[in-house]
Amino acid sequence: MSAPETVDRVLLVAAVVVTVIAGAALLTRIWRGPSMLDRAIALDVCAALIIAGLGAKSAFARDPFYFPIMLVLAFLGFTGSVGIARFIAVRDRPPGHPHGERTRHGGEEKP
Amino acid sequence: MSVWLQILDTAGAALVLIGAAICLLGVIGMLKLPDVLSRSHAATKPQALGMLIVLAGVALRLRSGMDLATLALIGFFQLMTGPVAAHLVARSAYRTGQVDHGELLFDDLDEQLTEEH
Repeated sequence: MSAPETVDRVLLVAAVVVTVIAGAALLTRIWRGPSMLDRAIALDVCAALIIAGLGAKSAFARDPFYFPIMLVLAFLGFTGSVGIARFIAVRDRPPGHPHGERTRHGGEEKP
Repeated sequence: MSVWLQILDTAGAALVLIGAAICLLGVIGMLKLPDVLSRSHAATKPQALGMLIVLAGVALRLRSGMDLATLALIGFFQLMTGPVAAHLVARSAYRTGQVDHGELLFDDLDEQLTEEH
């Protein structure tokens, strides 16, 4: 193995490590996230991170085997967050949120 | 292997690393920012910019026509579906009252929705 290939391998392994760290940080957001919409956004980013990790693996192995999986994730990864935003988050309010009730019609001062 | 192909390979690996770093920046923004709208603003960065840079890096390392077409399709669908999801999440956040109306500078939607009722 020549020296530039070693540099390539180090760069790609670093990319995979960065992606895994980002996924771990994203899991804490999904765990804590005060409302359901935060979790929906985090699921979208999670699909993007999976695509990035599969891309790094494909670039490491020079193998287009995982490209259909990336394509399906890019095509259908948004359906989960759209479903949450459309049907679940309307009934879900974060606990202790100051705007849990709609304060928009209740005596706000207008300029 | 010639020198130029090796340069392309190393540039592709560096682009993949840069894209992964941009994804990490977006996730740090999602951890730090306080609001649903600002979090969705931070979440768009890994979905659009980081993803396109990672795909460009992969395309520099796999240099056949079919793989380039598939990578272009992946980027195209990601750019198609990202704004749709972000728009629906922001719309739902506004309508369920998770937006702090005191922080907004302009709020055209408020007047339109108030006129409806």
